[in-house]
Formats: sequence, structure tokens, C-alpha cells
Amino acid sequence: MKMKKITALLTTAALAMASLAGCGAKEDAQTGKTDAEQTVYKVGIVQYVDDASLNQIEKAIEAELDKKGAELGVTFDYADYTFNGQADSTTLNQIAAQLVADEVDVIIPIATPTACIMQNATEDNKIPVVFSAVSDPIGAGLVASMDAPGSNITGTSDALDTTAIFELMFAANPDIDYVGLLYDKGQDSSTQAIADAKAYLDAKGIAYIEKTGTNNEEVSLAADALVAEQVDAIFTPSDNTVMTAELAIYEKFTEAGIPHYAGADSFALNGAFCGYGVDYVELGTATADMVVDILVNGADPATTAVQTMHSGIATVNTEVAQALGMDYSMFADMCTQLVEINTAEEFE
Amino acid sequence: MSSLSTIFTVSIFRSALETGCIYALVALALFISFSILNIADLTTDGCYTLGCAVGAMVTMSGHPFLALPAAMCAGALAGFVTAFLQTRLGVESILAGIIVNTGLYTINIMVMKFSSVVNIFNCDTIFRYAKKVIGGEWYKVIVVLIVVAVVALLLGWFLNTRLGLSIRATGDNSSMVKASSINPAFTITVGLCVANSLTALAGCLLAQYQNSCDINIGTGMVTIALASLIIGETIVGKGGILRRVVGVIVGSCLYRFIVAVAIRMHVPAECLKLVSAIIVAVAIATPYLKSKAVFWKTRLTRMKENKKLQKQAEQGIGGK
Repeated sequence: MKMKKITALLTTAALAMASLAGCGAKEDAQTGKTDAEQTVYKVGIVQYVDDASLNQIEKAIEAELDKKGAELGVTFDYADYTFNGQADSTTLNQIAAQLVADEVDVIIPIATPTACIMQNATEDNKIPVVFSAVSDPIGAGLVASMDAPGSNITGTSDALDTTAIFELMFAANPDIDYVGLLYDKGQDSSTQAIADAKAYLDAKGIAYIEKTGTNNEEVSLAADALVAEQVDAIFTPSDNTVMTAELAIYEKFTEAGIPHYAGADSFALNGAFCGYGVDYVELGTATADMVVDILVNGADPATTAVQTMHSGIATVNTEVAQALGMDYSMFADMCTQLVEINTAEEFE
Repeated sequence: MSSLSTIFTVSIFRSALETGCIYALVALALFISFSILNIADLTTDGCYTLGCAVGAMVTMSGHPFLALPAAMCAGALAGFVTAFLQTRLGVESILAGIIVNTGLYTINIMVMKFSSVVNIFNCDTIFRYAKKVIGGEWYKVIVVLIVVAVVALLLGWFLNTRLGLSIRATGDNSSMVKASSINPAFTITVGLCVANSLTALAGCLLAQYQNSCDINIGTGMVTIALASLIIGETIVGKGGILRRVVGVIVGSCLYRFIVAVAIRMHVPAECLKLVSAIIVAVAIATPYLKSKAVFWKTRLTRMKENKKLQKQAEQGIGGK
């Protein structure tokens, strides 16, 4: 009697799953573990959330892995092990457990929250982790020091030069006396940059106000509050939460005549006035090179220094600049490269 | 077609057992509020996150063992508020749960110091301590099993005490309980406090298990716990309290095994909530459908017999 119940339940569960396995099944890689000539390395790539910068990084990593794979005669199998956590920590933890169970050779988490979860998942098994786009690896507790990470974790950092952004801000409008700071308190990547920003503004004696939000809705409310405060300019560091909400809030700022300066070029793509920061394609390529170094040349993550990109590329959104009536020609002298773009959702 | 051994490695079995036991505590909480008290308690999502947040913050200040009772107290408070709304302010049970759940979102963010994520990787947790003392690969399973076993035994004992029996009676027939001069408001309050303290305890264990806490960690907890509860009750059926409690724990572990197998079969993580919903629907509907099937079968047999008798009667008359 009981066996019937158990069997019925298990059969239903198995059928339910089998029917759904069809909708999610990825093609079983027929390459096999070791072809006659080629070694196959299993590379897990974990994306935090869909946004233009992080997607750029992912594509750059995959392109560089393919290129290096062809050069060295090995295969980097990342197609089966690429996941997107959709900013949900439960999903990210499940992804981490699955990658560990799949026994991948290296994990590439993109963005700070993903890196922290991978750090936790590899605590016992010490799978090498090469993070990408973590603004403050020491502050997030991922590495002991930038030169000698000390454990199985290393990677590339997109640490922000906050002073440079503010110099752009004041060059465009020297009369600014009230700055708004928009970010997510829960994002480790924003903490140091905001502290730097406050120190800079305090030294200059300029008033500022902070508004924070943890999801799209709250960021939207924070944006409304900043507009109501009538700030002269708004600063956002390389914050993933605000980035996800940028397409929803940029029109509020443009209509109020407030320029939005941010720490990544994807913000400018999605409607901010100016995005200043690293070249994310270069960041992704550098990350892939580190992965190749660790897998093929046997480098030890504990002694591989964390790489920081210091390119100062200012990306200006021409449509927004026109709507705001802002002149940005002086930026060209202040940074290594000035890029002009129109509003779009993703980089081509 | 991968062989069964690759689908089900030891490490998957181990992590399914670990998470299964942690979620078993939430299933036990729903066992008290749903099966015994017959209340649809929707504070589970918020209370789980509350336990996670309180556990993470107390662990971060250096007291991993104190985090467990701290989380339980926080959960009991949340349960008390829900019960107060239901019994003293006349709010419908479902609405009371929803109200507290919504309020708990802000309270959880406040507990986490207005951040949506707390990372406690560099702090001492009970699992780190167990790793030093027990070592090996199974230390996490042992810790969780100890906690769950203690909770199960205490719960089994409590539900057989006088107060526990009153709580069970309140779920069956609240008017009869009132007539026996026991205050159902009191029994409901105690029941909900205990249930939500168990949920918060599960949240605290999870915070120390995955070394982080996130504001959205509780979303969808009710469905998962309900699925585990129903699976457990279907397998074990009716019986003594201790037997039903063990059944709930087994159901939770079984549910996590099913989830682990689903992930191995490349079902995307987003589809798992749909699978849970289907399992719960099927499991709850099965006994009802079974009794309906019996009814229809009996009816069909009777109809056939009646037709036969009619025919015989006609032939009898015709024959004469």
C-alpha cells in the first residue's frame, strides 16, 4: 500500500522533471574528456546579471579563450558551464554547487557578489577562481593583498579612479555646489568609491546627499528623491543594481537637466550623461589570459597578482548631452580616450 | 544517457542531505501551523529571511553559537505578531501572514544595516568550528542532523504534553477546545511562535552554511516547505506524532534529492519552482481523487447491477 504511494509520487516527480528536461537540456558535449590530440579544460563562467558591461566582459572572455585555445591547441569548454544568476543568490548558490559537482577546472565569476559566492563554494575543494570586474577585492574579503592573493582566488579588478570622474564633473560645470550620490549599499563594489567621493567632496567643501536602493523599484524612488532635491549633478560608481535600473531612470534626470556621471561606459550606453572607467573588453581579455596562464602553464592563483586596469576612457551619450545642453569638449584633454555613443540597450 | 552514478555522486547526495535537513525545519514549522493548527501561515518567507539576517549579523559580531537562539527568538516574535493580529485584532489568518510578511521585508533590511546582502565569509561559524572538531567531509551533515534530531525529539515530546495536546485539539475543533475552558487564542499564539522560531532557526543555519545572507533568500520558501511536508505525509501517512515528524524530515530530504537530480539533468534553476508546484498539486489532490475514484467505481458497479436486475425482471415478466 505504502509502496504504491511512494512509487506514484516518484513516478510523477520523474515525469514532471523529464518533461521539463526537454525545455532546458543543453546538448551533451560530444568532445569527450580527452580527444586524441586535444586536452579539454572545463571552464565555468558565472554571470551576475544581464547588463551591457558584464555582457561585454563575458563575450570578451569567450573570444579570448577561443583565440588562445586555437593558438595552444587545447579546447576550453565553457559552453556547457556558462550560467547567469539573474542577481538571485539562491540561484547563484545552486550554480556554484553544480559547478563543483561537475568538477570544472576553473570558475570565472563576473562581478563581486558572484565572486563572493564562488569563494564560499570553493572553500573546501580549492578549485581556482579567477574573478572579473570586482571593484574592491580586498574590501570584499576575496584576497589578502593585491600582489599575493594567498588562496585559490585571483582575478581582474575594475577599481574606479573617483577623483578623475569628479574632475570631469567640475570641468563641465565649475558652479556645482550640490551633488547627489546614487548607489546600492549592498554592493561591495560601491563602498570604497563612495567613501572616496565623500572625501573628495568634503575636501572641496561641497554639499552632497546620498540616496540608495536595493532593487529597480527602490532605485527609481531614490532617483525621484534626488530630482526633488534639485541636485546639480549625480554620481554613481560601478554599481550593478543602479546599472540594471539605468534605462528606467535616465529620462528623469535628463528632463530635470541633471547630468548623471557613472563609473562604467555601459551607464552612458543606457542613458547616463557620462560614463568613465575601464575598457571592459580589455578587462575580459586580461581575465581570460590569466585563466590560460593558470590552466595551461600551471600558475598558482595564490601568487598571481590581481590585475587592475587603469585606462581612463570617457564615454559620452550624445543624445543626452544635446538634451542637457552640455558641452563636453574639454573631456578630450582630460582622459586617454573620448567615445561618443547613442542610447541603446546593448553594445553591438 | 549518463549512468546513474554520474547523476548521483556522493557529493550531490551529501549536499542534498545538508540542505534537506535545513529545509526540514521549515517543513516542521509548516507541519505545526498547517497540518496541526490548520492555519495558512504566510509569514514563512519573511521569517526565514529574518532568521537568516539575525543569524548573519550575530555571527558577524563574533557569536556563532548565540546566533541560533537569537534567530529563534526573532522568529518567535514574528510569530507572536501574526498570532496577535489573528486572535486579538480579528484579522483573517492569511491576511495576517501577508501583513507581517510585507513588514518583515523592511525589518530584515534594517537588521542587515540597510544593505540587501551580508557576507560573513571571514567569520567563525558553527560549521567552521565543527570542521576543526569533527573534520572529514561529513561534518556539515553531522551538525545539521544533530540540530534537526534535537528539534524533532523536543517537538515530539512537546506535542504530547498537555499544552501540545490543546494545540492539536485547537486545529481539529476550536469550539470544543473553548468549551473545555482552554483559550484557543493562547494555543494559536504558542503554536505560531514555535512554528516561526523553527523557520528562523532554519534561516540562521542557512546563513552560516552559505556564509552570506540575501534579502530575497526567503522568496518561495512556503511552496518548497509545503512540497516537502506533503511528500513526507504521503509517504508516512497517519500515525503517532513522532512518526509524522520523522516523515516530514524524510520528505524534505527526498524533495532535495529530486531537485538535485533535476539540476543534474540540466533542468534550468528557474523551472524548479514549477516542478515544486506540480508536485504539491499532485500530492494534495491524490487522496481526494482516490476517494472520488472509489465513489465512481461503486456507482458504476451499482448501475450495472441495476440494469442486470431490470433485465431479469423484464425477462421474468415476459417469460410468464
